[in-house]
Amino acid sequence: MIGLLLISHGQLGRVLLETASEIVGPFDEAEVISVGRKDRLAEVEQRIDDALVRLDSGFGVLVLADMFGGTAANVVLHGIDERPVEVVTGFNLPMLLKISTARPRAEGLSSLAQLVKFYGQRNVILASEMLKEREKIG
Amino acid sequence: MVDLLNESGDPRSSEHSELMSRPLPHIHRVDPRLVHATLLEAWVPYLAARHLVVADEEVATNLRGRTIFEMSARDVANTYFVAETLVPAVLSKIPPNEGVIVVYGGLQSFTRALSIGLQCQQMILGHLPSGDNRWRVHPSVYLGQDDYQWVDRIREAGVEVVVRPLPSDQPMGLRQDPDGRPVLVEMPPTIKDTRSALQSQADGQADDAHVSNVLVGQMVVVNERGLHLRAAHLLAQCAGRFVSSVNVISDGRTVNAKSLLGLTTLGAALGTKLELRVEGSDAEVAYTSVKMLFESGFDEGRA
Repeated sequence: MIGLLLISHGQLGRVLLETASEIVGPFDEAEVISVGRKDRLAEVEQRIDDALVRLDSGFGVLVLADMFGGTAANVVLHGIDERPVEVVTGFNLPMLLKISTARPRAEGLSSLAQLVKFYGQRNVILASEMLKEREKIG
Repeated sequence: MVDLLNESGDPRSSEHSELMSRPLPHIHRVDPRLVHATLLEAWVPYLAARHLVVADEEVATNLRGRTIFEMSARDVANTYFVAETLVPAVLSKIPPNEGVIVVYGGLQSFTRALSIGLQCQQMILGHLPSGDNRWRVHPSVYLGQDDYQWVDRIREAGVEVVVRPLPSDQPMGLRQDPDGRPVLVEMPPTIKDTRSALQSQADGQADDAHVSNVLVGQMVVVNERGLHLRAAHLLAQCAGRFVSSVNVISDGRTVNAKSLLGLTTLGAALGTKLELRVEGSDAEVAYTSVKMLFESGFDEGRA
């Protein structure tokens, strides 16, 4: 199966994975890396690299990062030529829930990454406005 | 930062309170992470920074590194990637009163900029990682013995070292306790001029900032594949960042280095010597940036 690695500032990734697990059940072959404000870059790089090696069972690893431009995302992006990874930034709960069902039957890493990006973006909604517009039409 | 330096305020002059509410037009920040979340989401909005100077020779010559930072700094109008020693040249070309953030990967990097004449009053220490034999002075700032020696050198150059990871953090000074360990101390409650020496210097130069400079020099193509499409694209992209005209002359033929097509028609292979001619208000920075690109073999290395 495609591996799953969440990387984030502080405990965001760990808590998101725990929360998603409570909703849809446990995630196999998934790991979390937290980057704290006292961490050394070289050490973060090593932790990410080790996790990618553990998680790649031949199908590659989908990396979800909390934000584009964050240190953890920057570190993983530096190494994308060396490892079979796709990196999607700006993770959210809907993405994780989609991954729980889409990952086991994904055609491949890049199509899963595309789907996750699309699904994550589609779920950022100005919901109150959308509701009002719907009601107007109705 | 003046607005937080003296929270008790100084009622003597309204000018002071105005100074206190106005952030510095630019800051020099040391943080090995260089461009990252805190910088982009806290410091950039705080200073309304329009210019981000990444002063790091390694990043300046690394295409992947530059691209990642450039993509993440989408909200900043201008991003510059230069070696530390080019910081004064870059700053002299940025209009005064526009917010500028200069980031350095370490204390030593910052001293490199000082060594070639950078003038500023304050250096902000944003982050240094934890590790063996490193003292914690703040949850995100740890100092080793070497670091403290660099801090001393920076001070000797007349620059104040301020620990302030976030804009909302109270700026603190650094001192050594009797055992030689670095500790944070309150900043002296004096009102500092918001405008650094550098800024006044920039003001003084404002009149001649638009005088055209012409710089001419010989470049050699050192990478194996020569000035092929990718290399030409990089060169055009680099030249396109400057207002100066950037021309490349080969065999008596002059082409605009901002034009990808023009460059590829030169067919400049490994070993080709070209004349680089840069003219305009930011010629110095443009010339050096293009020169560095040639010297790095367009990030492909020397053949």
